[in-house]
Amino acid sequence: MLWLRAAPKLGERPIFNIKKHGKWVDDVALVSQVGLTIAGSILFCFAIGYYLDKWLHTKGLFITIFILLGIAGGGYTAYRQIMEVTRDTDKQNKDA
Amino acid sequence: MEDLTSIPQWTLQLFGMNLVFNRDTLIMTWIVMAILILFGFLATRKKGILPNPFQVVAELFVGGFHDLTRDALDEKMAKKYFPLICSLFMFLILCNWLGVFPKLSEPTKDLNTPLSLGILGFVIAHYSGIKAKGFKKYAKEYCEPMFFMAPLNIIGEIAKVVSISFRLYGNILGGAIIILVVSHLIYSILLPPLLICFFSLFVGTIQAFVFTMLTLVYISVQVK
Repeated sequence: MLWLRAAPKLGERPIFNIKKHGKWVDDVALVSQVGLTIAGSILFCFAIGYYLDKWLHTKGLFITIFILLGIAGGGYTAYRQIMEVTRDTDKQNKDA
Repeated sequence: MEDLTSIPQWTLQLFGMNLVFNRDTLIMTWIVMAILILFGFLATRKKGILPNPFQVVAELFVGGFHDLTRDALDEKMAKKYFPLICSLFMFLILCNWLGVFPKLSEPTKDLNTPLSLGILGFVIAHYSGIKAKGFKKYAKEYCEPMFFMAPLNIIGEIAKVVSISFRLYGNILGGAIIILVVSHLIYSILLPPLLICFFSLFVGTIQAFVFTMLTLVYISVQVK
């Protein structure tokens, strides 16, 4: 069978080397999360603003404030995440 | 098509409170838990140098995730957190694959499951952070680079939970909707099974892995 022949035998180098690719997987997971973090932050702040507006009978005041806060918070978190990945890569390159 | 719009529920009245349970999610989660317990029992029943198939699969999971956790954290921390990471992945992958079988549906299709797992990861990450650094240093990190950045840092931390939960939920529900719509529109034999293979098996595996890796990364960020 083709898939059996293609599978690596015991003792051969595995296709996915955790030691070699572990950091790469970490970075891909983090970077692919960046856009969602901004969206999640805005969504979370929107929900807080919406319920505060409903509770205090203000019309759109808290939604506006919290959405702005969400945009800033999401942007800052995304920036920190990207900087963390870049810093780690720089460190790895220096060590190598 | 009504499968997606109706959520069968069980309502329990307790001390004047209405407790609502999503029936399908609850039953499917129980099925996943039962499969995992059975797998654990079969894999560890007759451990030997010549392993049975269940032991081989279990060793693959345990070995792989122990290495991943050790790389992200250190040896001492890995011992502590790797059971959580490994079981989280096994639980999620089974949840995502459950939709392949007729009459069964993915519990991750309900936002409550990914959100509770996200909150679980968040609580564990922050608890480990406080334990590793002490509360003063932990709280001080929120005021970096300047104290007025604290609200933004707090929003950012909570946004991580929202984003990983919605990512898993969106991918699984999106896949389920596409499969259902295509199956209703065409009467082909080839396309729906192909979509099931793609969305349930491939996307399900990737999303389970990403969710687990992100939980691990968040724990390591807090601990280090």
